[in-house]
Amino acid sequence: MTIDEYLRELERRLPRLERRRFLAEAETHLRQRATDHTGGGLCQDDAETRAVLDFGPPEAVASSVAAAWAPRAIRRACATALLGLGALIVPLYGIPENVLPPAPWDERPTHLGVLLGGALVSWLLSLALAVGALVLSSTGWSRAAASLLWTATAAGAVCVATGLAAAVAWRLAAPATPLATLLLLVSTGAAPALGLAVGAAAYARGARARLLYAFETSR
Amino acid sequence: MHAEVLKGHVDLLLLAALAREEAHGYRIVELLRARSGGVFDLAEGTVYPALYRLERGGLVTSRWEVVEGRRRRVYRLTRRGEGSLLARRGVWERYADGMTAVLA
Repeated sequence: MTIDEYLRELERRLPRLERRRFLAEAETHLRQRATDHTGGGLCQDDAETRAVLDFGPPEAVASSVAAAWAPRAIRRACATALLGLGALIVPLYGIPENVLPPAPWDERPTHLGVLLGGALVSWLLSLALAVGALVLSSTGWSRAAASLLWTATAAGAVCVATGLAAAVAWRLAAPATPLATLLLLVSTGAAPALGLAVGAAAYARGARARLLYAFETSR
Repeated sequence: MHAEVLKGHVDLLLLAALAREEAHGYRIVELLRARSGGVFDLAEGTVYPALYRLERGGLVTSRWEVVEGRRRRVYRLTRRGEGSLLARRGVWERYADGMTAVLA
């Protein structure tokens, strides 16, 4: 295998964010090693083959990179998701609190209470799970953290869905509420916050897959 | 030496190699090979992920430099890295003393 072929193989397997750095280092190293081997009497082809063999199989190098990169990537994803889930308080509480007219009833309808309670509980649950994922990722349990982050994001999605259902239910119980405006404000606020959390969880899932691959190839 | 034996000690070896001078990956591999009399013959490609991990842990820093048209990343030990090396060296010396005593 020539150095160029090796680098192409390695490029295919490296995490995208750190690809340029490792490829540059690998190329410098391999060309230097090949130069040393040609200085020792090998022809160019043999020198490159030898340099590539000295460097190690691309799968092994890529899995070492993944094992070094993934834990930090997952930790950052957990922090980002926590930020997104925390920000849900603005569209789901801050906006309705300031947009809705005062409640027209002395005693809140039961179904509305259930929906609002459900939104609150699922939001608190998503936060607790995301904090748990962040703690796990900071204590070396990266793979478990990535899995837990998905659950946290799912709870966040339930929170948004329940919050929107509560907005509709509120409108039905209090017809004076400007439903379209309320839904628009809540949705446009919730979408980026939830999107941030989902994106971070997906990123963590990708990092987890690389970590699993690294674990499997190192056995 | 078998790669599996070296695996748990790569971080210590890298920190020790950087204790005396800043160096790029290729130089580090050469240093370790030379200082160990050829005993520590690391799989060269695994040095870079290990350096990356040490850098993320704040034990080394790095910068790019260009020499004869080739870009290479030069690594240097941080204060934290020096402290870590000192601590790991102590652990290793106790381990080595114990092992030597048992094998004697």
